[in-house]
Amino acid sequence: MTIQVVFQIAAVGILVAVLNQVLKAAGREEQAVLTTLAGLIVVLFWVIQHVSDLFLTVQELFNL
Amino acid sequence: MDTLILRIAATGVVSAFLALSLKKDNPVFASLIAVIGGVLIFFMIAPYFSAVLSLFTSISDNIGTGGVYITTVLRVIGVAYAAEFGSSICADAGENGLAQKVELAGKILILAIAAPVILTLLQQILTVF
Repeated sequence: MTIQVVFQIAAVGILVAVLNQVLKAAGREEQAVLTTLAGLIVVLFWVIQHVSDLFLTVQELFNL
Repeated sequence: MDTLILRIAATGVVSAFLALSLKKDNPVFASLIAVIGGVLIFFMIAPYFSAVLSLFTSISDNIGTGGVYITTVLRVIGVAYAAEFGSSICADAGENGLAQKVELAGKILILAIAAPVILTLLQQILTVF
């Protein structure tokens, strides 16, 4: 749970943005949308994993 | 120990600028980076959180009767923190309506948790008169 996670997500975001431009230039619009969706799903999995860790820690810290 | 605040500030600045750089291409990633930055900062501060909370509980133990209510106070703080975390993420994503609804739910839950304490307080006041 270090700064590495933030850099991973930023890297995926930048990669998806570049892929979008390349695919749009090549005229394949729908694949551009699909790559954005795929990148989004991967990042959402990571973020949800960490947010659930956060809420578990809060629950045990404040014994909610 | 004192370098921790520098690391926290650096994490905030780095996440902010990474999110800013991605805002134009795909804004969803920008708000996700903001969320993960917030989670990271919480995990950096968590050990001090539990230290402060155990300080509160140890103080309240030797107050005597006050110790009963410390668990309620802790739960109210936890609910307030979670509600604020959720509503600020919704506000970041631009959904102000959702943010207010989460805030409202947090308030109602806090009232529900604090209700027994309010009742006992009122009874004690009434016994005085």
